[in-house]
Amino acid sequence: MSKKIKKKTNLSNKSQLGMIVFRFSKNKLAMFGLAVIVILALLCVAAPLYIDYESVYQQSMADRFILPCAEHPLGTDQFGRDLFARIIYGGRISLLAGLVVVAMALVLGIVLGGIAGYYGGRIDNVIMRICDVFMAVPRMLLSMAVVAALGQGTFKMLIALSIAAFPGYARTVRASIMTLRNQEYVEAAKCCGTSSARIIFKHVVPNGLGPVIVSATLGLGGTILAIASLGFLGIGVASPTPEWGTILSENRANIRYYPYLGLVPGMFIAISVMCLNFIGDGLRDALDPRMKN
Amino acid sequence: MEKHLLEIKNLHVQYNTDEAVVHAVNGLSLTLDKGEALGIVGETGAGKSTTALSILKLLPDKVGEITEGSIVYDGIDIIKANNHTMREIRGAKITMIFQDPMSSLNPIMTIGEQIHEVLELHFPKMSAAEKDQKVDEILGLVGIQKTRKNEYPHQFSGGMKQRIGIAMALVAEPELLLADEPTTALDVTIQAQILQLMQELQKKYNTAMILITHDLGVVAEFCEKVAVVYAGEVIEQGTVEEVFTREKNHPYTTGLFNSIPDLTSDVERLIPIPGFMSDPTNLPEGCKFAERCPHCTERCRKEAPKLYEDGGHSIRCFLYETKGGQ
Amino acid sequence: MVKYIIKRILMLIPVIFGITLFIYVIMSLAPGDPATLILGPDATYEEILAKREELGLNDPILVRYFKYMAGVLHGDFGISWYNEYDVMGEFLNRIPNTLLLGLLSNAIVILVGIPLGIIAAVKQNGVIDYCTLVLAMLFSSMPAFWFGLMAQIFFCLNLGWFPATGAESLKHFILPAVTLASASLAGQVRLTRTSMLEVNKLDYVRTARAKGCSESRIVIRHVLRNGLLPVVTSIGAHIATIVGGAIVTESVFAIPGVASLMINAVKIRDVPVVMGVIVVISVFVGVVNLLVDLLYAVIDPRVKLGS
Repeated sequence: MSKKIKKKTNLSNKSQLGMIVFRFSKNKLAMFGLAVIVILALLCVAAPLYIDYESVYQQSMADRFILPCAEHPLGTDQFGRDLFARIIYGGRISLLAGLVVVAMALVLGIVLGGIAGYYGGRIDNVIMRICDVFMAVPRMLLSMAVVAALGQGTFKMLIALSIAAFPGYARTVRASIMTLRNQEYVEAAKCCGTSSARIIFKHVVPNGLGPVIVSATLGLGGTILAIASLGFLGIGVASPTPEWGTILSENRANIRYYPYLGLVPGMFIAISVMCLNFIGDGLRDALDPRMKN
Repeated sequence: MEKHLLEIKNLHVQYNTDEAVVHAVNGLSLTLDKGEALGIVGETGAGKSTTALSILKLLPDKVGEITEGSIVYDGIDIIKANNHTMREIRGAKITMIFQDPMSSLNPIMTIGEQIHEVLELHFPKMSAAEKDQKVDEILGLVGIQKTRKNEYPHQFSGGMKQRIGIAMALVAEPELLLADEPTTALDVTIQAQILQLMQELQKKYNTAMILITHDLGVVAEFCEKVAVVYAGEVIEQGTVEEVFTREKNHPYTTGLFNSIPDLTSDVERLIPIPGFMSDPTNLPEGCKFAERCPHCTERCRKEAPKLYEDGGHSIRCFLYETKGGQ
Repeated sequence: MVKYIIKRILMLIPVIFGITLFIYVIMSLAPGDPATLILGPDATYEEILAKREELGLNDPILVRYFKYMAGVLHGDFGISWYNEYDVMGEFLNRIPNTLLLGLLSNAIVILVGIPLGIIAAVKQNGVIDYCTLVLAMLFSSMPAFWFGLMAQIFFCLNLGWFPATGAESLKHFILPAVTLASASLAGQVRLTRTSMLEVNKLDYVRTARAKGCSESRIVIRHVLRNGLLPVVTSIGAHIATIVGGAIVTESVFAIPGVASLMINAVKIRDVPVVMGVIVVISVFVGVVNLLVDLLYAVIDPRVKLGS
């Protein structure tokens, strides 16, 4: 077949990782997303350096509903608290909580999915049926039920969200391992006498990790949304602790007359989720250029 | 000068991919007359399939591009033809059998529907009963029971699917059949059956055929004329007799002959052609085969040879240089 | 076919038992005595003991669970611990609202999403394609409750086009349904588009072109039917998203549906209500997935049910 001979003239001398980084760096949306997320993360991490922690909770009836100005860049809420300070400190919680949930779910998913995919047979069957059980109800509902059982509280909510999220990762990991186990290039590598460590790190991990990293990145956005939703419903991070969904919930009654109170926290959620999705999509394209269209 | 059924002149095709421009066909010229069978031989990436797709203007959208040359079929300039004209040609006048029968049939249409569709498109006046009868008839000719026409492609084996592909390609009794490595994806035992079936039907309908293959043996058996393609250009063409007597051959063709086993000669080992085909994103200046050629001279590296003709047999090599090369 | 359906329903049973058992057990193991919580701090010891007896809290967890499930099988979902209403009766009052909301938004997702996806694919890199791409990215990143809040303020309070809250008429459901559809809609457009473009690259589409099919015929007869296969599968996933999204949407628009019942029950840990919602939703999701698979088998002859 004399169709396409894709020649990566300028790429051929780079390593696999180098090529992934190169392809990712050429994706404008993904780079934009990465830049925004990095800036946002830095702003949040460095918050104590430029925001007085007091101003997050400090109520002052004299300063209620100040519109955005030099002193309060995003205005103040019904208790006179500085919205910018609350949002930045809220970001610390939203982003960190999202990371914690994804990390916990990922560990559980990798372990269970790895065991299921590697051993197969009955163990696989049992693990997959367990996953089926946790996927029988929508994630949001399952997390709510677990919150109901464990009681309210930030850490309990994180556990609830992880329980609801892990089956998805377990399935992804299992599917990756299953396909890789039977890949011809893995067989070929075995035939060449390649050591199993080399097979695992050179062939299986780079090829199998891709889908997991992609679904974790995309999952992080979804998790931040879920945390915000629970916060909004009043069963997530409890007020007055700032969290983006909780901030929206607190200001709900006043949004009609002071729209910035609703617009700003929502935009922070939307922008960070969108940027995480850009990164996830970019990673997917970079890891598997064939998927791009 | 007599009129040919198909005349390709100086065809250039390139693929514009994200990473590079691939020069797949570089100045290829061919002619074909009614009822004639031409074999195009060459290795993977030589531009054989691209040529076939260009004839039907089915190059991948936005990626494949004909940059130069002309393709004239029965007086119609294919390259300039509009979509409407092309639709009338495709499936009725020029048809194609694809390499991979597994993926070339629509998985959710019955095979009967898929053959029927050709008739619907090109014979709108034919009555329904007549169309059904035609479908049954062609299925019979390719050796598939007509009772199976309501089955789906996944219910057939690879060889059977290629028979269905042939039925689809021939049901409208075309003038030109393009067969793009029709047996590459099939078992060796089935290959001969399929090729024989194609030949029988080709003779029956007096259809001209371009058979694309990398197998010289297949060409010798099923074609009258042969064109050897290398890096997107014809490097040797002639009748099967002229090329296969091996009195005069392009060094590449010689290489091809040496790399296939021959029961009548005493050679103990096959002689492969050293090296790889030139990079189609970065073609050499002179003869494209120079790097791999045992007869390569300084001149070969700098100057591209023309096709030098001797009777009907022409070879693109300075070894056979005559005055008026093309 | 019938055999397959029976098999699938039989497979659903352990899943439902699994999830309900999990929730039941962790709810029962949670710290704090429910009877004390229900009666409040003023209750006497005797009152608490009597309440424990009434709620059956003195039995072992598993016994309680099986008693509960036996009740469920007879259509008895128990009585709310706190408000003393019959859970099943309350469901029956509220389910029409939730169903209507879900149906409307699913209809929007399918009836708007699939045609837009097809247009985006056919006019690849055209205006509609880019618009849907941008909107898809925006909507799938926006929290549904935020979109709902903003839409409520703009369309209901400022423009007065729709009633802001409640569920009295169909008009009350328009904005909530759009809100609920927004996140899935954009995804549906993209999925349809990607799937169509994927199919368009396949060999059999080239075969169809080689037969002389016109572009519109190729889209309708060859690409669309094949391209819709993954879209059908996605509908099952949308249902799950929609159930999850319905919770916040009902809350924003104050629709008295099943979801809002759940929110209150979660806050006060009303076990029979939470359990009831989980049972009903898990059965519902299981049945929808079964229906989606059956639909898939109808349109794709390669799928053999039962294997």
